[in-house]
Amino acid sequence: MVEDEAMNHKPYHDSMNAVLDGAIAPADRRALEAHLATCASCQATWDSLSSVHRLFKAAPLAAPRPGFNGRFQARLAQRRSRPPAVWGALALGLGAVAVSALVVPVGLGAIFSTVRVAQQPATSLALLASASAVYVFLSTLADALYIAASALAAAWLPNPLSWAAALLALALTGAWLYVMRKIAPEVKPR
Amino acid sequence: MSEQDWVWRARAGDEGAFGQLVEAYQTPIYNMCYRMLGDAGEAEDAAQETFLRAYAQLGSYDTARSFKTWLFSIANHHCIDRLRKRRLTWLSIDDDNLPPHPALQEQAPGPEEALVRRQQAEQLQGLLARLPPDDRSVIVMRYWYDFSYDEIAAATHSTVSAVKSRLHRARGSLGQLLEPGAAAPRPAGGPVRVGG
Repeated sequence: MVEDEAMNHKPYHDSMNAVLDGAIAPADRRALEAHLATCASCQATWDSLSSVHRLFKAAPLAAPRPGFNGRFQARLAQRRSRPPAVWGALALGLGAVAVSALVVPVGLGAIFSTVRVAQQPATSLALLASASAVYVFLSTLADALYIAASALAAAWLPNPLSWAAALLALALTGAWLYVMRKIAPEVKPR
Repeated sequence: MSEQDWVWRARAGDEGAFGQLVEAYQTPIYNMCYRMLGDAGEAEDAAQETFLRAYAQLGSYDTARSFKTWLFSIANHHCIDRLRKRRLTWLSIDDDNLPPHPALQEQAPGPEEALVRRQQAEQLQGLLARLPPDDRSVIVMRYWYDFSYDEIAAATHSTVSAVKSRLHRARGSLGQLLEPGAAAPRPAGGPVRVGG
């Protein structure tokens, strides 16, 4: 019931805002005036909205301290003398990629190896029976890491394709750095 | 020379031309930052940063768009970013007690009027501080710069209907927050007429 009433008044609230924004059609204005004469609730809303309107309309512009432009020029010159941040971001990005390239395969290998070891009945029994479950888990994890690292090393090191991929990645990184230097030339201080 | 000429010159690397643009927009942009952030020192910093960003991004500015709207868009986004970071730092600020801007106090001629203006400035800034940042920027652009719905939509990367909705909601919230009789005096002349 209350919601229905609110919905009935909503068009008038929209009209009030339209009046304040100078975007009301004459017919809507007349309808609003007629409604306000009979509806105390909408009259109160109108009083409140028009008070806000008057308060904000009367507010002056806040001005900066004198010499704003001079301070801006000094700041611009200071900003230019700084080395561009793009190289730092690039180094961080490449570092993150390199760390991910190491951590993700080793981490995945560790998880899969742990699951495989834990699935064996003997290991499961040993895990359950052990009083120092935490110690067993940690040592199993260490074993799994060792297995994963060994497997990776065994698969990676003797394979010429791996070395070719590494060299290709190195070449692509060099090309990327070269392109970035071209795109974002260093700004020289004045 | 028109504003657009200064913009073209600035884009071509003329620093003096950009200085002219800073001169022309320093007060509007500073006021925008002050109204959004509520602190004179932070507003100075944000306004300076706005111009630095504008200078750095001049190459990507689409000259078919209004320069003013583009500049306000940068200021608005920067201020909203600052407000979000401020919230993340868990700082507790008593928004009701934000000091009024020094320049606003100096404009009052007498002590009584100075007091009234100071109270109004505090009230106004306190009200603004209670609005969500997106609603606050819509109110600031509407009241201090008479931006149209379209201009506000362009500066906030929003739609006209979203702008209208925010503006109406913000006015409604401000109306509820405003204490009865505490607003600027209503113009004399009998009952309220819907005349804007």
